[in-house]
Amino acid sequence: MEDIIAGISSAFSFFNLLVCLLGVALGTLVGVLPGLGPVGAISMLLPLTFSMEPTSALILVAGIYFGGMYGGSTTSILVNVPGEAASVVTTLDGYKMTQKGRAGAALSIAAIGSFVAGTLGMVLLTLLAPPIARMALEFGPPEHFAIVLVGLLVLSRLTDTSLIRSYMLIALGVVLSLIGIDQMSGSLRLVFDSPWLIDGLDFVPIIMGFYGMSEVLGSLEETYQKPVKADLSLKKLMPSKAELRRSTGPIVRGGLLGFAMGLLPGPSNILSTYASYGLEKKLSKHPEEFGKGAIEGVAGPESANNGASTGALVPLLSLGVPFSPLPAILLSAFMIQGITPGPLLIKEHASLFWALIASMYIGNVMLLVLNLPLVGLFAKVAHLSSKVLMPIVMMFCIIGAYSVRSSMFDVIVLMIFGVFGYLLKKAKMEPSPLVLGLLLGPVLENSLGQSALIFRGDLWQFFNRPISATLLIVGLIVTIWPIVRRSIHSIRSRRRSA
Amino acid sequence: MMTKTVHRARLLTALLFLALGLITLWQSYELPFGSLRQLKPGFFPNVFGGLLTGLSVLMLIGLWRDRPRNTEAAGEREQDEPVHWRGLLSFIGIFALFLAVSYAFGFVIAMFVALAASGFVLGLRGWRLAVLAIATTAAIWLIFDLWLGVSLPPGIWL
Repeated sequence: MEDIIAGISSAFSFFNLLVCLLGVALGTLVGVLPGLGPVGAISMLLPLTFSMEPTSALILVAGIYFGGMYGGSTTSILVNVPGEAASVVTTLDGYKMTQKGRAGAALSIAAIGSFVAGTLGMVLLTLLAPPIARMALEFGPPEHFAIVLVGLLVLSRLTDTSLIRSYMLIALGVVLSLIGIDQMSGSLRLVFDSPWLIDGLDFVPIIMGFYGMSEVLGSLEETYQKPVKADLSLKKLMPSKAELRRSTGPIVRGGLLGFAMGLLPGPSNILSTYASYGLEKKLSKHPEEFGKGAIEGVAGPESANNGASTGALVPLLSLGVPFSPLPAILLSAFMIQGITPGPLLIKEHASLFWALIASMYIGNVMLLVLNLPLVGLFAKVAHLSSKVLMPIVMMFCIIGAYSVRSSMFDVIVLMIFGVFGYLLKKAKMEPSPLVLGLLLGPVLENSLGQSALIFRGDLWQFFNRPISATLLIVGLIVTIWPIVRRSIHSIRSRRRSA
Repeated sequence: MMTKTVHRARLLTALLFLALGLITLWQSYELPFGSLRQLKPGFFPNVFGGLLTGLSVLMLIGLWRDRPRNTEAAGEREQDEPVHWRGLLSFIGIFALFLAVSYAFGFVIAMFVALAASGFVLGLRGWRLAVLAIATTAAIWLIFDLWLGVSLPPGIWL
């Protein structure tokens, strides 16, 4: 009890409150920059913690963590450039809301949803960390493969009803992810003897090309829908009562879904945003509004992203095992301070543990306090003339692509996928299934390879494990049922017309 | 019924995907496939290259069946959004210019040139164009080079 009080009071010291505010502000600023996101933000700002004492250092990193996540969604909403992979889904409805003059409402709901989901996640983390962490250990490669496969099959169809088009895009995404060195064997694949392709394709230039550059290319057209000039008074910037009412369910569901998925290994924050979008579309009384500026399409995924990032802290803090890149960067922050997270963290560094938990609550509040008043400023960006905004967006995409690996090749990739994204726009094909395939392809391959070794070739063993069996059967039903239903409907129509 | 532009764009996309699928299969042909006991590096490229090829063919068949016909009434046709070729080629040209200037004179000067050119193509003129190019270049250099330490390439002449 003394340690809890000591930890919490340490988090509320003036210096640590200032450090938390600095972390949130810096994280948001860097997270807004395209191509960086929370992983980039923490990596770049980590040196600031070297000279700090452990509690303050970890509080700073926690602030950057939450700030970076919110920053990534800002550019998705305002200029259709996802700041990170988990913000891709936010572009589907967030940017459409901006085009309708509701940028402020979208940004506000993203901030509120992130806050609520983060707080919910922190409460669950505080109460349930050890037992949840033990359950998460039940997930092995077979379960990992099942969840990724089902995710690809089901979530890719959120934006396009055509099975063929969705799966074609996934297939290409997976093929693109295979370029470079095979992680299991070290063989070179699909490199065409080019030294540039040996390191593979990074996803950041590709998603910025699809969403940002294609928007720049589209800005020249007469039909380009410029954002409607909206009233930027504070009252109009905030979501209306109806919008808040519509967002409540998605925020809570998104936060809980995200937290649950964050406990699992792999790119959980990406999957959770797609899963939340799909769930809200299914539950909505107006699913036809999704993709055209439905506020649920922003509230759910943004909450899920934050929930997943909080859930990802459970295995990190309880077991010392990071299940995805973001907690891995946090682990490095812990190690730099000489602290090893895991089962002994609470015993050996109890006051630090509770100071960290308390500072995450504080950081979450600061995020809201800092960013809600700035919504008006951010919303003004969307109202800049496209003659001014599009060249800036183009240049930020170029520098964002370059800064990933300091490679001009990534800038070329950006442009190629910008033109490709423009082509897909003309074809009315949403690129998100391709992005999903690109991000999850390596995970799918590794988990299937490991499962094949475990099962010694007998892949029916997937159905002998309760979690993977359940996931695969549910995924199969959800995938095949629409085909069966369409076939039955088509047969009935033919019989009636005969 | 889809518009002509959508149909053509989907046709081009399907042909592109078919080409990429065939190239993947061709490049992966000599990679060891392995078995279900132990997957080898050729397994995924061959499986997904094959899927890509097969699905592209199905899409092409579907597009042939659903091709737009001129018999529709004008009012029934969805508004066509044709490709803005001049703009598209202008931006590709600006990008090529950016690469060339970057190679010769460095990233910072290339940024300035690309910003000025893209603003010009979009219709900006005079002091507004100058302010856009100078201010954005300075901001990017300050944020990325000075603050975040992303080293921008200097070019062979600088």
